[in-house]
Amino acid sequence: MNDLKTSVMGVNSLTISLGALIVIGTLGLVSDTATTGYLHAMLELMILAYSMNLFTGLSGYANFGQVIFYGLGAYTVAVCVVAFSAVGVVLPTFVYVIFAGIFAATFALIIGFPILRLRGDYFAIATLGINEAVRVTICNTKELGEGRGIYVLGMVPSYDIKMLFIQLLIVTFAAMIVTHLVLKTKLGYGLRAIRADEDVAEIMGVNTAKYKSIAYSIGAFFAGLAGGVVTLQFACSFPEYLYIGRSVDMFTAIVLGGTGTLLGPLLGSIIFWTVKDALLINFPYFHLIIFGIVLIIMVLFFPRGIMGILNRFLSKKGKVLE
Amino acid sequence: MLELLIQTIINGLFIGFLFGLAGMGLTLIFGIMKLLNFAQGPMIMLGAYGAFWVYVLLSVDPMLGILMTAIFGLILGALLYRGLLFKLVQAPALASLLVLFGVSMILENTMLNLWSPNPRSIPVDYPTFSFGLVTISGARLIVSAVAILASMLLMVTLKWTTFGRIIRATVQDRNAATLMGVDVTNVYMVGSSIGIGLTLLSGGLLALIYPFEPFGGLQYSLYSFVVVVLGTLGNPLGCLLAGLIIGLLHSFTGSYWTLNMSPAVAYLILVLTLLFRPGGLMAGRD
Repeated sequence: MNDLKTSVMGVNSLTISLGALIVIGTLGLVSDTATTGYLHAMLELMILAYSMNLFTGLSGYANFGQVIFYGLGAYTVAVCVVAFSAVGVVLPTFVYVIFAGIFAATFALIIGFPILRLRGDYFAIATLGINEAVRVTICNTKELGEGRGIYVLGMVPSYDIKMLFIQLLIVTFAAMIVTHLVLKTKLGYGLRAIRADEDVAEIMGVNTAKYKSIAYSIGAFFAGLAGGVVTLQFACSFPEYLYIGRSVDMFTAIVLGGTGTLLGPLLGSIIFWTVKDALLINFPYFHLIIFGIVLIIMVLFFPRGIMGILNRFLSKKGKVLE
Repeated sequence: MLELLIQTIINGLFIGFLFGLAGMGLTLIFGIMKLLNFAQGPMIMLGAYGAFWVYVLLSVDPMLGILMTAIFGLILGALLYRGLLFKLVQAPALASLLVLFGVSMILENTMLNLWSPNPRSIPVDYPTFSFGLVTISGARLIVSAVAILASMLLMVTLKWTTFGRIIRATVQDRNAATLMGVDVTNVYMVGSSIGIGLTLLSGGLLALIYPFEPFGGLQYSLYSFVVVVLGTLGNPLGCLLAGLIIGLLHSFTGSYWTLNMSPAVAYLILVLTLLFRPGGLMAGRD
């Protein structure tokens, strides 16, 4: 692998990612509200894909409960806004969003203790179980609005998609940089060693428990930020935000793009979002069936995603992208 | 008070047998192929729809419809193994879970397109029995009787027939079983067939008691996951026992707290099991 250059025509993956982000950002800021809304939703999925990628993509753990951090982020913002306005304090909205990220990361640290000791199918069952447990608990807690959710209408600045779009741009930028750093440092190599063989990794001196916990929390942090923004967007937080279908979207996006890479979540979420939207318009009742088939085909025949296909060609020229 | 207590226990046992049966399909497939059937929820719903349509279109007794659905499940399981699952036996957990999730998306949305999102139910008029303090609905009685019968049949087959011994050998060590002349591929196919057959059977039985809809499978599959983990993955007897425990818990939560919290209680049990006895109740026993 050493003779492979991790850049194509002098451009490496990070530059490509940031370039794409600049294009999306400019497009979103200059165009009309509908297009901005469209790109906003795409960026949100991209952040979630990056958050999923940081832990699941790199370590190979099947996490079906990533959406829980998104939902908890949304609820954190709603609860904070209501609590602060009750005492007459109004903070800039991004402060609430940061609270959301921190709360999600803390929650991940705490539940990570027990569940990160599990592997494979057991881990998948546990994440799914915790996800549903939290959702059901929220649905039955009076203080959290039960099934109706919490409304913060009038307590936050009124609907301004451009301002929210900028917040998401910043979060996406941070997610890209963090993913890049993780891939280049010991953490990233350790996680990939865990994916290859956890026992061997442990014997070779990788502190598996610590690495998994860190990656899990960083991923949760970004999902929490995305969730925080969504509450500001719709001025409410619903239990629906914890619906596990969203985790499947994230999975599809990273599997499509290529798990454990920097460009994978970017490519995956752009393609997933555009295709999903087009299918939704043209085949409203069949698009999820088509996605089911695509997911199966990708996993079985192209386990490394689009990045894998791309690198198969590039490596013949002595180059590779990550 | 006593009345409520007895009624709660009886209802819990009834639903428990059904949970146990649903979990048994899951645990059998896991035990044999080391494959967690993430598409179990939609398959349960498919069983419910199968029973419903046989009942509606042929207007025969629902029990006959359930039997036909179970046979359809056996065929479906074999076909699914031949077409898809054989590729997943040696695959990493993440890949097989994602593929089965894809299967569940396809199933759910196909059911949604074909049969609309409206909840349906099979209107049965089995007699209701009263014994002094308690009342027992005939439908529930029949459902548990069939569930018990099917579970017993499976366990007797596994314990005392040559075929059962072959399956148990494969569960214990597939390489050793291959060396002893067992055609493991065949065992996988039969395992997948019986597992999915049982899943559809439990779905059909469920349709006699509860209404169902295309996306209603998730909660039942989550209950099944709890049941199989609590009862040790791959152990049918443990599964039945765990089914009864979860059924009782479900019923007690409903009677003395609120039925809405029943799933949360079940997942709490799941997490506690994974924490303190990750092997489940029957760990270390065969």
